[in-house]
Amino acid sequence: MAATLKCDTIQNASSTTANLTLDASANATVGGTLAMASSFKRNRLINGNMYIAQRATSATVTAGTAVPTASTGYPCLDRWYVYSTGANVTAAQVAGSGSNKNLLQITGAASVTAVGVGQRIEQLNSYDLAGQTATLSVNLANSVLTTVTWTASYANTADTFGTIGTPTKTQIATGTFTVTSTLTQYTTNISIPAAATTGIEILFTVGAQTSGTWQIGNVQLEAGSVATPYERQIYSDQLAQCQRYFATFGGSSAYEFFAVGLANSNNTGYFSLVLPTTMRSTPSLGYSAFSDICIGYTAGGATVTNNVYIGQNSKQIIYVVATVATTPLTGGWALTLQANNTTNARLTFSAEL
Amino acid sequence: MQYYIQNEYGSIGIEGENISIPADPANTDYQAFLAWIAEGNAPNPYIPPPEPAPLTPQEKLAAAGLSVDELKTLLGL
Repeated sequence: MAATLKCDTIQNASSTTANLTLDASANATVGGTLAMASSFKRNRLINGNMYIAQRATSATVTAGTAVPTASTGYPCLDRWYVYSTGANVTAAQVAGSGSNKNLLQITGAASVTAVGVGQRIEQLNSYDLAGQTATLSVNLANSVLTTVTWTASYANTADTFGTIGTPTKTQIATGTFTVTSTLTQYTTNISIPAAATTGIEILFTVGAQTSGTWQIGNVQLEAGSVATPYERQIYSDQLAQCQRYFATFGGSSAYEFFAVGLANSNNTGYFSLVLPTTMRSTPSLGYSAFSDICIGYTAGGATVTNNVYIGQNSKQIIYVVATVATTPLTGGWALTLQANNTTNARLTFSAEL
Repeated sequence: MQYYIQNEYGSIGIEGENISIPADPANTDYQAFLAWIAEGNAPNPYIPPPEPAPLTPQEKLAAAGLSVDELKTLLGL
């Protein structure tokens, strides 16, 4: 029987003040401590609202299933990997509507047979969900297809999910959402098994997206059986969360400094580069082109690099070695590792799952 | 795809790609490399670069920011 209870306060019989006060404007004031079954910071997925795009705002997804790895399969929006089979697709950060600033949009192409968009939650952020009910919510729209499949899996060993083509994960549950061209929220409950203490993956897939677009936004996975409103975070907090998995240097100015270091010999520099936050693992180092990057040295010269690589393992203070083809350096000189008069210069660091 | 050993620290490169993969078992690129090895593949070995030619006295002087005349003056010659 549906009913409405009308009152101004709710108070425990032994309390001297109201536990809950209700006013005429639909506000509720808690007198003591609000104890919740799930906490704030409840979304286990990072960048679910598609705000952060450190790599690019649009990119081609090359068809193939040997993804994702730290350096492959993450085309644009942080933390979200994308794969396709049959033909390439385009992934892009696009404008949303209303209070939702951004969406991830996949643009289909002829011969595409499947597209997937997923995120892998590391063990440290999902361990406690094992043995619980979790709720997945997502905003979806597709201009041509009507079925989006969701699949939850856990890694067979901690944080090791394998690739799409060679997975090392165990399926928890799967289901479908019947979608339309209008962006709509869909939710489902997922019973996470007790064994799922090793990291959890959420993957959305569609079939032959041979044309049209598929949009995804406000993705949230939370403990409990209720889909709460999407949990918004301060941009800088969300960026820092993403930087545990990916960080990039360059693009701000033509001679941007990346790191300082010392000459080890007359053609090699050792550099200490401090990342914004501690990464999940020692990251893979990517670079735009050797000619984009140079070593600056004491006498005021600069020479383009011919090799840049990771030295010893570290998760935050990265030991980068750079060499040059000539021998302009003297051991012990102070050096800079910097952009070589181009804003195209990039050093990227990825510890993605 | 062909991997190669990049340096004496064991970092891994991929021929033709601008990447350096650390030998960290938690790194998923390195996990993919290990899977590739398990399939019977072998990376190209590390080839140390040739020792750079030693600097000539003139180059050493230039590196110190000195001209010959300045050095002579300094030495009272």
